[in-house]
Amino acid sequence: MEGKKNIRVLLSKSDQDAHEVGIRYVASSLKDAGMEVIFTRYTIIDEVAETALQENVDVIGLSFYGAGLRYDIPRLMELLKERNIEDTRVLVGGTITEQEKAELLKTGIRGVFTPGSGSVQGIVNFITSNIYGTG
Amino acid sequence: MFSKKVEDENKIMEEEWEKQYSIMMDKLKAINRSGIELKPSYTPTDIQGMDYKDIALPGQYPFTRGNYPFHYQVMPLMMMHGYGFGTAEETLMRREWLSRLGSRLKVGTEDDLTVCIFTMDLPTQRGYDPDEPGARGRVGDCGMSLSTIKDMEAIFEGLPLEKVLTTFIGFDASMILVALYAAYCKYIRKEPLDKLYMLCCNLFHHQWFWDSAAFPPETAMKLETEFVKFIVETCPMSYPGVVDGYNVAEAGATPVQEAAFSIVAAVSLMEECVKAGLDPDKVASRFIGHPHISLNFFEEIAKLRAMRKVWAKILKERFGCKRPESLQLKFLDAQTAGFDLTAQEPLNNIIRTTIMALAGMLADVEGMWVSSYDEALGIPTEEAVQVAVRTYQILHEETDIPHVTDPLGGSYYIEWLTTRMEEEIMGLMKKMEDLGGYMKCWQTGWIRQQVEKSANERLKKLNEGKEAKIGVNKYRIEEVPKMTAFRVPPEVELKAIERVKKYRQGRDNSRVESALAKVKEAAIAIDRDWPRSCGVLMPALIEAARCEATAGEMHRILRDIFGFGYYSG
Repeated sequence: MEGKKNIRVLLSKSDQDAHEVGIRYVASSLKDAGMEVIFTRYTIIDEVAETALQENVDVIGLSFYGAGLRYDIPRLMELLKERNIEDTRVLVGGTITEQEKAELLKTGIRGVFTPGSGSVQGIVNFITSNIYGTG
Repeated sequence: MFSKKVEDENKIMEEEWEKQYSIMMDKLKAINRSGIELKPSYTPTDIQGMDYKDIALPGQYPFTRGNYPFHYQVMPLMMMHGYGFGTAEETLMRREWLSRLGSRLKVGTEDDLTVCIFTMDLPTQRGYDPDEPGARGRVGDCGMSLSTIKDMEAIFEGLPLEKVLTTFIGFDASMILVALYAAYCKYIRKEPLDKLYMLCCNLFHHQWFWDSAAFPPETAMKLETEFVKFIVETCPMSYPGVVDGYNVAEAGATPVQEAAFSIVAAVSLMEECVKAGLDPDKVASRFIGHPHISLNFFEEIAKLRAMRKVWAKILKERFGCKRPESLQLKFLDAQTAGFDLTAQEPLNNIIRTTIMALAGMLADVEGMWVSSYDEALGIPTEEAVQVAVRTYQILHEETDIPHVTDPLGGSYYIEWLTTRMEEEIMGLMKKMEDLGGYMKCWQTGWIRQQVEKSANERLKKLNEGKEAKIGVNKYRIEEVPKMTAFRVPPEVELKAIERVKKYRQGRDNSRVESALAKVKEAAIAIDRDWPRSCGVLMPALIEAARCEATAGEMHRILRDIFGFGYYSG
């Protein structure tokens, strides 16, 4: 990755959801892969769009082990558009069914990672290839 | 254990045996999850020199072999099945289903209690009413929405209250949910509170290892103490204190870390209660254990036995407790591990939870929550719940397990491992003391760092295939899991919003306001005049609940006074 700018990733989850093991592991794996990671918790999803704008991130990764997916995602996509940063790649992970995954991909989400997606390396590779256009 | 002559002969036998197999013995050493080295087999030599009084008999101090001389023979394993989603109506349907399956429980001489262990939705746990912005998209999903005394009525109407076991899994909001419940019992049902049988969820201790927003540590400790005082003095049959190992283990702690961290937290709460003037003997017996049981089968059994020992010794030696029930760590709600379950081939999880539940029974736990096989996908379907209930019933009623208490007692391996786990737990507790104690370890984020390190080590092993997960990182055939997960219909949220809005319109708002002003006054007293003010907040909350304040309105006052949004790293 020499000569290329560092990929900036905003990882965030709801401050109501206690399930943090997954997203924290993803955070440490992305850092190991040389990315800059900003980790936040949000009370309402609007905060994520605001942070993404301020921090000028390339990727937003959200984790859902509890509720909130069906409200937060459409709202986030709307907010990114309002701020003219809809080209930010949004990835979602968590306990998400195939049907929910298909719906998410339709709304412009780039990648959905579920308990069946395999190793964390898949997320690292996905981000790298998406940003550098090799995939 | 054996006569001197037999021991001498045995020694010669063992030496020959070891000589013969020593190369293999060294090669085959394993290391358990807590980092303890295991030999391929154990002999009487490994437990030589052990004080028999440290093992003792079932029901005898230090309760290594269980809390009772007779246990499952007379007192069945308690089915501590939590449930709840949507609003009261949806949750009642699930209760009806559980009841048809035979999920009722017997506690001591009390017969046939209805199990009302309610998982609350995230907004309720967080202290939001359904119509607040932070609740959007989350109402009734993965738990029941509950915010008013009227909601309490909807869920408890018609049940004889002295025959109900109640838990609100509400974490930060538990105190307020219990206030709503107490107000409902006292003022609507006109029943005395001393008959209530509640196992209360731990309120605030979770923020040292997980990522939901919370009160600052000093406040958390005060509020928890306030809550304990209310329960101990008003609802003497209920349990306000939890030695909560489950959640810290799910966050990644090893069994030794789980035991040490959860015991240190509870001991620290005990100390605060004593400072606030409570009698340790009265408080100690009101603690229950909520441990985690993973697939580390023997390690978990040894952990549970060691935890009972450590707890008994601390309560006796440090707090001078005398009543036997003060020294017993009662595992009323052990829970099978969620993190060992998989989304791939979910039926395999039935095998996994059965093995975990077996470990719980062999370690003599009082009650257990067996997770459903679709745990990795979301909250359970009716069918998944049915299998979980059948798991207890088959273990308890079809097998010969209940006939003999602590059947593994005396096993060279189990007794050796129990002692080793105890040493490790005590060692880690000592280390925390050296670091400045529990509060310091919490505030500096030290506990969080330890837990996260263990979590990442475990995930790395799974990722690299060094720890097997059948159907996931080994023998995988299912690339995309066939997930059929339970989901709550979105209309539920609209219904709950409508309901709480209507509720606010129909009440006497000036009465609510003056009751909430009293809550604020009490919260300020807790903040500024501790521990003298201990005991003022719970009555104010109950009065506010009676005056029809909502859970969200009460919680907001606490957030305003104490500050909120604390994380430990």
